[in-house]
Amino acid sequence: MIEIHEGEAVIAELRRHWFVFVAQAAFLVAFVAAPVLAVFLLEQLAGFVLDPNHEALVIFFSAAWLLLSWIIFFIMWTNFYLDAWFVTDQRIVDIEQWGLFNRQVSECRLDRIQDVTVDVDGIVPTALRFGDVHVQTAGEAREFLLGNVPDPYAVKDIIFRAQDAALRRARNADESLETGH
Amino acid sequence: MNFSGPLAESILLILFAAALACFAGVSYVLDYHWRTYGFDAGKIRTMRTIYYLGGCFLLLAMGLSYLVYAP
Repeated sequence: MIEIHEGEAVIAELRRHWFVFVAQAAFLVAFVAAPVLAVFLLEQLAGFVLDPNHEALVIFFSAAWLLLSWIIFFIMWTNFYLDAWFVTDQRIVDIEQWGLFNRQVSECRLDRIQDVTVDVDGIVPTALRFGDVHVQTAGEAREFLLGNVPDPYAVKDIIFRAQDAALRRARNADESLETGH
Repeated sequence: MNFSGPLAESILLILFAAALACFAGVSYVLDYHWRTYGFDAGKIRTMRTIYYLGGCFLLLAMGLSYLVYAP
């Protein structure tokens, strides 16, 4: 969870496109199906026959294999879900979740953003409308990367609009200070 | 190949214990993440319920099949 400052509002909560998760999950489906395929191939090619008296053994190993896949699936989902970006009316918060024990949270103020680049690369990202949004900040070498976000052009517009509003607020505050009102 | 006898039963028992420990360990860490960083409490609660139901069902299947194999 991110800590919201007083008077701050979250404009957008972003995550990677669902296709990225589905592509990862497809590998897991192959992982689950591998033993079934192996037994089938052994039966066909090497004449291996599964002993019908050992049904309990088959259930035991199948359940163990499924349990392993189940755990891996939820670790993948947690990584996907906790890897998020928040655009507020003051800053962008970038939360990077790598595995279960590596988490990085960084943020940049909207008034420090210099330029925003959208990168949609490939057939699938073009068809499903997702891509990378690169946010370059002033005075720092660091670049914020919002990877594989849905509708990156809309995200770019959201960031620019939020930045305009933040700059306008800062200007008004400066003028108020100068005039003493 | 004949997979039976006390050695096979011991192997299955060790595997079952390892699966139980693995599930408990990963559950603890996942639960910590979900409780600490869960942004959407409703969605997290649903996923948590599915995770525990599925995991317990598979552990039960392992345990029962072990008992059938090695009564």
